[in-house]
Amino acid sequence: MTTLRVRDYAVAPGGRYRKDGPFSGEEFRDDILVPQLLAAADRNEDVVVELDGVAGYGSSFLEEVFGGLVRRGVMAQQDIGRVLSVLATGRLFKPYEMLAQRYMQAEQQRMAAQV
Amino acid sequence: MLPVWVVPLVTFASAVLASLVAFGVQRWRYRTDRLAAAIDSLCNEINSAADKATAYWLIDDTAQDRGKIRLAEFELVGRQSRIQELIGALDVQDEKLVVVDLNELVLELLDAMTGGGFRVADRPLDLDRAARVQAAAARLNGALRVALSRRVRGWEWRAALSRLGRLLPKRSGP
Repeated sequence: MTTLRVRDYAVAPGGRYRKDGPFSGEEFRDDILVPQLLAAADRNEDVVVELDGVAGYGSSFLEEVFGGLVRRGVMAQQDIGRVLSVLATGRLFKPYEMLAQRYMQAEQQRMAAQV
Repeated sequence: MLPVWVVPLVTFASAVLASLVAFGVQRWRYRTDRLAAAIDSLCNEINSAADKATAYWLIDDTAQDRGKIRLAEFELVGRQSRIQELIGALDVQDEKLVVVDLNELVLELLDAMTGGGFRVADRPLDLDRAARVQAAAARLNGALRVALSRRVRGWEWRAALSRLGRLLPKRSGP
């Protein structure tokens, strides 16, 4: 199992796109999460993204990371669900865990409706 | 003729009883007042954050000073954390307070406040999100107020039933 702690990469996660400044959702997704996810899938392992320990999130960061992961189609949707878990242990970060899951589900539903 | 100790004893017992009742009432009032104050404070924080967020979404980023917008963005993320911390404190203060659909309402508020084009450079103003923030805040406020009313009514009923229970004769075994 690979654990990715967002706090190891950014104390204060930024905005949605790379052009909006450092530690954006796009940057985290493309430079850190996707490579780890693909490598873990090859090894038949899980990836856990830990959300705790940062100075708060903008919801747009989470949407770009997790909704964007589904949108970009880097893996089959069922594989994302199988390999990736989002986790927050602290009370402060629990809503962000639920938001991340909600963004993934919403994007899956949106794409299913388009097919 | 009553023995001489009866009058002082009854007087003393009445005084003790009255003190206990007064203590119970004061304790109940203290708990309800404290809970109401905590919910007031949380609602004020939610309203203030929603107003700030609405002002943020009504800024056309393409024509504004980026420094002011950055300030609003950091404030909004901070206010999200404050709201969550206050909800956590409320949960500790009264574990039996039930706010219906609390998680759903908080997620709706967080998404409306800082989702979409939040922190996206050159974003246009977002009227839909400005309205959604206010609606989400109103729903969360309403749910908190309803929860407070239910909780206080629950206390009133429990206190009344408990008083009634004390007045009723105790059942002896079968």
